Amino acid sequence: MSLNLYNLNIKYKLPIHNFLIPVIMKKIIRRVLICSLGLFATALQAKEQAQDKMIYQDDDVYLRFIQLTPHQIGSFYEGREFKKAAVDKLTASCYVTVIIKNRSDDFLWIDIAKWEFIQNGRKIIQQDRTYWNKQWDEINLKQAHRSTFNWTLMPAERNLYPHEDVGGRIPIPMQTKPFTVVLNFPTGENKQGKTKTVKMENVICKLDDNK
Amino acid sequence: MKILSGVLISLLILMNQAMAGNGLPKGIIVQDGRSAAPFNLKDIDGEAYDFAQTKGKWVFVHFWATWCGPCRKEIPTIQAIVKKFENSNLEIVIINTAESEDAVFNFLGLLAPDINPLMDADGLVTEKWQPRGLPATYFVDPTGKIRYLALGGRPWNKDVYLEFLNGLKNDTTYKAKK
Repeated sequence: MSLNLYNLNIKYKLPIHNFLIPVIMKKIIRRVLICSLGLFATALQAKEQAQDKMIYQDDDVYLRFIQLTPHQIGSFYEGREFKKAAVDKLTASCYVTVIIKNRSDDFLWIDIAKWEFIQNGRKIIQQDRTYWNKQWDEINLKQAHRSTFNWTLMPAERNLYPHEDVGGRIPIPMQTKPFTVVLNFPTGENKQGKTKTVKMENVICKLDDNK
Repeated sequence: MKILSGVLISLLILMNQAMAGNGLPKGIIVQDGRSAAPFNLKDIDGEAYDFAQTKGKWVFVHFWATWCGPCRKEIPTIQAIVKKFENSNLEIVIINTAESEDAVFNFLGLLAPDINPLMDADGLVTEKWQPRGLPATYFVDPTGKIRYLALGGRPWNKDVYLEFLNGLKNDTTYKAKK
């Protein structure tokens, strides 16, 4: 009887267990595999993009580092009619271009004096506005171009409203080896909050292909 | 009874404050009302312009440069509204920061031919206004005080921003003070 029942069951369930379920299972497995492959590919792509563009992001901040070669920097300022002496000075430096978005609901402070550029434990000194004013005085650069140059730099100190973004360049002496940038962001309307720190490693001064 | 009316008044104040905050489009920040720095500049055709002539109107003061990415995205949205506010109670003042006439002419000819910018040739007026970066847009009230700031580039031709701009254009609060 039980056998019959079993047989009956088998007869009844055959289409489900031996046909439908395997088909459904196969579909599920296939989809899981496709999704996994897709996720794997996306993860690989994201890793490649992150390596290429140097991106850091979390719930509070989005950071993107962009590396420009001396030729690209020179072309940018030449396009703004900067004279050759100025372009020569500009292309001798390295520019860490940073885009920052405050993703938090609190104020985030840019204070680049608190950012550290380190190579093998040695601090790399930023070339701040005072440094550049001396350079421009040497070649008597006109005020309009000093102004344009200043607006392309990262603001030295200012707050970022919740969800506001900012971008700009931080010039440093040209480096031949990778270095680390430690970005310290005070938080809160009056900097009373906890300081957020992000470390970007293996930052390079990108050179032109022929160099 | 006193407690109840106190609670009601507090609620009304809170609601009023909340509505005032929510009434502004995204990225428009209330300012402390400091005085706008006066200036005299020439437009791209060489015509003199004195900022003092805007007194009695709301003014949209916009700083930009052709090399700035967000400015490139934003300027067509300003082009789309300049005609709408021509000869109105909202004056639109566009100031180019430290660029040559050729650069500005070539750029605007393609993207915003209706805009006649003022040329801050040496960039000193821009520095006096101390914008947070480029682009920057300030809203100056009819008495010459800075009341609002727009963070970064904004899509000025979108309904929510047009509503805000129309609100300033139709503002009669300052008429009595003139």
